[in-house]
Amino acid sequence: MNEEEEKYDLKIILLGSSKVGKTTLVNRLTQGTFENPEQTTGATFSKKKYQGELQEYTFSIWDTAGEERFDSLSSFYCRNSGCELILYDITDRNSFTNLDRFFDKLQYTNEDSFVILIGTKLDLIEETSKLRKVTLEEGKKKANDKNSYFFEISSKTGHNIQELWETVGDLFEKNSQKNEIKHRQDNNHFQINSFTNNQKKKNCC
Amino acid sequence: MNPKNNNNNNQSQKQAKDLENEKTGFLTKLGGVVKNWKNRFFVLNDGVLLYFVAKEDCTPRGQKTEEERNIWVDAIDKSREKHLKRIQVEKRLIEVDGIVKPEEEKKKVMKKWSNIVNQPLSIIQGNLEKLKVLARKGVPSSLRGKIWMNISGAVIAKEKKLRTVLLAFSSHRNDVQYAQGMAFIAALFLLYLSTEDAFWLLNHVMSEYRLIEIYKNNVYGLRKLTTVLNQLIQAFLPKVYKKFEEIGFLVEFIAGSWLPSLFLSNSALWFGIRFWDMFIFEHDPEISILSFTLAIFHRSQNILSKVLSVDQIFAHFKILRTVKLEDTCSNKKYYYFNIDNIISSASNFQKKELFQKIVKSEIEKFDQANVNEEKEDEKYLEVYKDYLL
Repeated sequence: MNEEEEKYDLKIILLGSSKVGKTTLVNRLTQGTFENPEQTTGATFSKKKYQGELQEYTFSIWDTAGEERFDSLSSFYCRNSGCELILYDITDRNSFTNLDRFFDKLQYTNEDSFVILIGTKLDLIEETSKLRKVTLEEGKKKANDKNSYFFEISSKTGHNIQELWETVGDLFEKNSQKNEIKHRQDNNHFQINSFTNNQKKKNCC
Repeated sequence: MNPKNNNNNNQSQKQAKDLENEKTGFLTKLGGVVKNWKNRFFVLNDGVLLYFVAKEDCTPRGQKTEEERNIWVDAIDKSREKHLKRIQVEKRLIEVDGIVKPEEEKKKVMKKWSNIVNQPLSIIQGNLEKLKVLARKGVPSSLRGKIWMNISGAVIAKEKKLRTVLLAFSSHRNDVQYAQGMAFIAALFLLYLSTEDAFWLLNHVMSEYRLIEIYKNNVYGLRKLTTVLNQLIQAFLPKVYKKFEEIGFLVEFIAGSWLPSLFLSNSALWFGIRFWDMFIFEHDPEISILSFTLAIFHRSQNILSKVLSVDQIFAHFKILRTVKLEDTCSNKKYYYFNIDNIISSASNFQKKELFQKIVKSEIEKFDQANVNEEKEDEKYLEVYKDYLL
């Protein structure tokens, strides 16, 4: 299938201060690799398939620039997102105390969207826990206050990455099952029509 | 070492392991003209299969192309699975008693190396002894450049240069300091200039070409440019504008990733460089940035006016990150990223009166609407002036 004709079932957006590991997490998720990426300007976009219970879905993943001066732009990117991953670095206190500016952006997201708070760079504290600047409990409490899910991960070792991805998928499926019932009642016929129209258009152009 | 002896199997296997990149071993092959079985030393390296009369022989016989080689390797692999001693390949019989190691092993070695390349430098240096052993068996040619740069430390020296330039700039212009995107610009300059010259050029383009405005005051300039760009798209590419409105695409999405580095990130290097070739000669940076960005949209308008979702637009422009310069000239699929066409389209826009008019009036409008913000900025500048004196 042509890349340009693909449909995306869920928009996932990554937020967090610069250097917390947003792009690294995207690379881990989409390519399974760990490397030192270039800095992100604006936003970049990638996709990943999720094997659901009944069918396969394609999720789009939006990675944003973390620098504060670009905040006015990242509000644009948040529009209609269905899942927000908000990241902080467990070895950098500032990235944790700064979190509220990202939670404030959630007003731009869609109403069933879910939030996952993620503490990154777990591998760094495996050898010496001295480096840890944000405790597990603090992270959990923050997530609880903001009504979001919580993970501590390492993109380097892959720790909790699979669990994180499955949680995203599960939450998405739960949401879509809820919505499907609603959709079936009023939207079904219209959707089929508009779909076939689009197909025709593509063929003749 | 006697190659003609089958008992040497173990020894030659060990030897082949030493040369992990190269697969070597002894096969008995049936002669093409004279039909008798001969023991020959085979070497499989970089997609070419050669065989030699003896191991010490330097003249390769029967050089194989990649296609032929694949047939051979497949046949040999199959024979192994079925424990065959003798197989037929391309009308030739060969007896499998030697070792041509399967492709997978080559892939394994490649994977080992590419994992190493992707490690942070500190980890690479911590494992230097292990790597040394691996390197004695040869570094895969596709990764050689990267490995050499990393191991020798040249990469650090290069990064240090970049850091020096950016640090110098951010302390010189402490009204903006460092902003994401500048690193790409400084890195481009360092490709062609010394550290000191790169600093001067960076400082000069930032102030004289007013690039600093892009980053200043919560990316005021970036917001201004994208607002004007939006008006330009409405005027010159109405179909695209309509589509963007329909699916909820904002030019900020894509311009936000191009403009902070002026086309040096999220696009192939050759693409950004050609913009800079043009940009340096322009006296009005807003005009050149806006006409170039508009031209990119213009060249892609057929695709953009047909997309079904925001994501498809991103997927379309993602191609720009990896597309090769040749392909934009020779492959119809990528014509819309042909840089010569984009630049000529940009200069056409610049010549249009309407274009100039819109840019001028929209910039004024934006500045007026955000006059308070502008003042705040001036206050900031006052402070900065004191600092300079």
